[in-house]
Amino acid sequence: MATATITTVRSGKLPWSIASLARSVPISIGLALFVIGVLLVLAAVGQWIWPVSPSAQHLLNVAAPPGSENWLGTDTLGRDVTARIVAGCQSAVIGPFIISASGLVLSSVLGIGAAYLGGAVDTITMRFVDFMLALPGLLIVIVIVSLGGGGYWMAILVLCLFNVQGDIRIVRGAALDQKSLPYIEAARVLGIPRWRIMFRHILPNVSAILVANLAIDFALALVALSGLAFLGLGSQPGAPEWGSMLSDNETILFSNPYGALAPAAAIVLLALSVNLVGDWIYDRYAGRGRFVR
Amino acid sequence: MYRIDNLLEIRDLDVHYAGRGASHRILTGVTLEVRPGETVGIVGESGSGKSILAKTVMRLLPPGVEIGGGSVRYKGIELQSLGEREMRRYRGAQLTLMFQDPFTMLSPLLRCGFHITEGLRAGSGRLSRRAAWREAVARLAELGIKDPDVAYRYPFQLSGGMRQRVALAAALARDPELLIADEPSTALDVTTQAEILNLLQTIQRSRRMSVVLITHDLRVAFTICDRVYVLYAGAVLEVGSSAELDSEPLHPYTLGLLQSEPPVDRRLQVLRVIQGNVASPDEVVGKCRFSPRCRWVQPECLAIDPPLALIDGRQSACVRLNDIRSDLRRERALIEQRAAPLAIRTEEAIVSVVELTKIFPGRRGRSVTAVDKVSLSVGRGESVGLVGESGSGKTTIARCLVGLEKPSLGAIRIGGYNVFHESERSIDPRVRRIAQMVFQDPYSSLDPRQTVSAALSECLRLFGVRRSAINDRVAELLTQVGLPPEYAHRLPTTLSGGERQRVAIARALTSEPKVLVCDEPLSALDVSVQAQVLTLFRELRARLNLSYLFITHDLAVVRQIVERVYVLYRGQVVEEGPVDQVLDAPRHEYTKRLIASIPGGARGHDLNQEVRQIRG
Repeated sequence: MATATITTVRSGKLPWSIASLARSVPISIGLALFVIGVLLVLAAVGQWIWPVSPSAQHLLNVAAPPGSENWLGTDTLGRDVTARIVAGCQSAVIGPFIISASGLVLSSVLGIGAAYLGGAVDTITMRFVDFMLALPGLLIVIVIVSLGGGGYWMAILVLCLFNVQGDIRIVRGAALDQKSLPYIEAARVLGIPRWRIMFRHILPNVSAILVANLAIDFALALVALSGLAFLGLGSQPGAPEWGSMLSDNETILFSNPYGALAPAAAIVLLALSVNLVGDWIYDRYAGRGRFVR
Repeated sequence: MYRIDNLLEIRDLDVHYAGRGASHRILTGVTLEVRPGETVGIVGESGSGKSILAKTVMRLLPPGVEIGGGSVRYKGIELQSLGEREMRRYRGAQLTLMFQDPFTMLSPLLRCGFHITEGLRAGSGRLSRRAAWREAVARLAELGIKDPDVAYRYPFQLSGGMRQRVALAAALARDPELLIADEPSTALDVTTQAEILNLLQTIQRSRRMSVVLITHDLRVAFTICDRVYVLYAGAVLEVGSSAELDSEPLHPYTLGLLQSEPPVDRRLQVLRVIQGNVASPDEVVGKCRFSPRCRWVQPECLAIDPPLALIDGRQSACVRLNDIRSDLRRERALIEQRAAPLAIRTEEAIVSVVELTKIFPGRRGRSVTAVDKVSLSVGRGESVGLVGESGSGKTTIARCLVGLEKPSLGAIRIGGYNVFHESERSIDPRVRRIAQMVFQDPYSSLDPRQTVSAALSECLRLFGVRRSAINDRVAELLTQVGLPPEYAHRLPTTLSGGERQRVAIARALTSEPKVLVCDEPLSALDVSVQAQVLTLFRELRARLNLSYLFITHDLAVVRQIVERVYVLYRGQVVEEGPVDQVLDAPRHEYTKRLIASIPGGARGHDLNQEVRQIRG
């Protein structure tokens, strides 16, 4: 009541139109969105945009520098690097998306459930989280994946398991904040069912954190998957995968540096863009619903 | 233009917020003077810019807020022209600012004494550590803290009133000549509030300081201020001495504020309210700021933004003053009216609480008894008040009634049902249809992501209203609480505090309850809006034959709305009876203290007169 306020827009509608959105997007976010968009398009229809087979070998034209035929040169087996980067988009997008989406679902169910229900649910969930956090994550992932025979889907499955613990803890904290607010008590007084309070009231109010988690998880999963592929664990031999391209083309770093640098750049660019966008969404919408007073 | 005898002089001050792309006015053309030894009040509702005014003087503006023009002179020196280093020599030593919240103002990691010695040693005296500590203890004693041990304690070990004293001692450490106190008593209990105000007055007189008291409460300002500035939407609308403003307000807004604050010594038949919401300065450019809410508005009010004009040695910004002066006088006289007290009804009890006890377990077996064998009843259609200060257990009782807490002992029956059955964790669902609750803070009691209609229809579905009937019922509920049905599609963030509280009331009415448990439903609202919502409560009661259990610390409010009252002190009912009897002839010591500490009201005016006589 005491502090002076800077009142917000008092119109009844959400300020949500393409035009107003475009005006309010900073350049860095615009670029990041552009990068993500291009990579998504390449993942979907890349083979028609760059119709060169990523697996066709030209053993007479090995480790060639960039030229008019091969924009980024060729690799150790004479395969077109550009085509392999384009073909690698799919696995670079799908894997991390599955991992981060599973993190989103699991962490919102378990995190909000632990926070709102409390008691045994909370104790069991959080001790599981503590246990997972105490494990040396990536090391165990490497061991499990190599014991399990490797492969892209195997790596995704294991990373799904080892990705959620941090998210659960964050979501639980945010949900606890909400739980103590009067609007939740008001809902209880009205007799609104527990599941509705958890997923219709608390969930939307922690959604900004969920989106931020999604972005961070995506970036981390991309790096982890590429790391596994670099070690030869996260991909089938010969499959166009950015991580394995890195290790395959290490040997030709001086004849065609783009063989290794291009996938490295692609990994960094995608991870960075997703992170930037996630951060931006969080900053922009975390305050939504809270009040300027 | 500039008068040498003014300690602080603000001329034509413009302050605005210039953030990303957006620009908002905060203060426009504010002129204010403080003479040596004078106590000046600045009264305004939220958004009037009163806190920003204080921060402008101290040059502690938040980022993005800039001074657009005008001057702020202290002893003739333009504060804006000083460098940051020079300004620091003024802050604390010459002029000082005391904030509202005693709970966050002091660092919890530092002992109370340190907060004071820090200021003492920063002065020119170069006191030794030990001498400074002795001085700090003496300063606390000056403010009524005689126990020297308090200096060694940490702020969180003290009560709100004690903290506010420590904060005051820290603010006064370097013997400033001007103290700006921003809502120093708002966050405190009524009795503590009176103590702090008295203290401010004593200190001001013994030190011959000047004090600027910022408050939203006209009566608080009247009790200790010589002159009062009424601020609205970033500009001064009226200036006058406390007595003049009180007896004859010369601006419709001042009158409205006076009318909106219900008197404590009598019930009013009709509460006059200021319509609408507090405007932001951007909404009222180029016309009289108060015109959208004014009863006497005419085209001439919209032509210009009227400046303050001198009338009989006083200042008012009303252009139609000559035409409406007699109206204002007549309206002012209405406040003195007295309506017959509400008749006590004797109907069967709809809520009956017998020996309710709630004990909160603490660490190491130290438990807290929040409510101790409280028995009370609310009859069908009756309105009952529950008054007490924070910590008296009144909120715990409310929470037990609606099932948010389970009582440790005792029985609660609502509408013939036991609220809690022995073995069950949650309450009897039938009780929910009979008793609903309105919460204190409308800013957080609505889900910020849910539109009004979503919130209401969620509850309506729960209470078995047919899908096809829901939209009509939502519109009906909104109309009932005085909101246009179009508000259904709004999000709570786009509503003002009063509108939110109306939505919260509508939500509580979805189950068509017989009883509303209202936990301080007005205290988070602006003064002018409080009266609106209070009126709504009275109307709803008449229309729906509701019973209220009205929980509040505000005795003036309780007088306007209930027939019977229970006074709660440390978890126990110390007095009960018809509201007029309890408030006019209190028997218990605590009730007497509670009533004596109300600023304004009948007794407050007497105090005011006395003070003025003493000063001569």
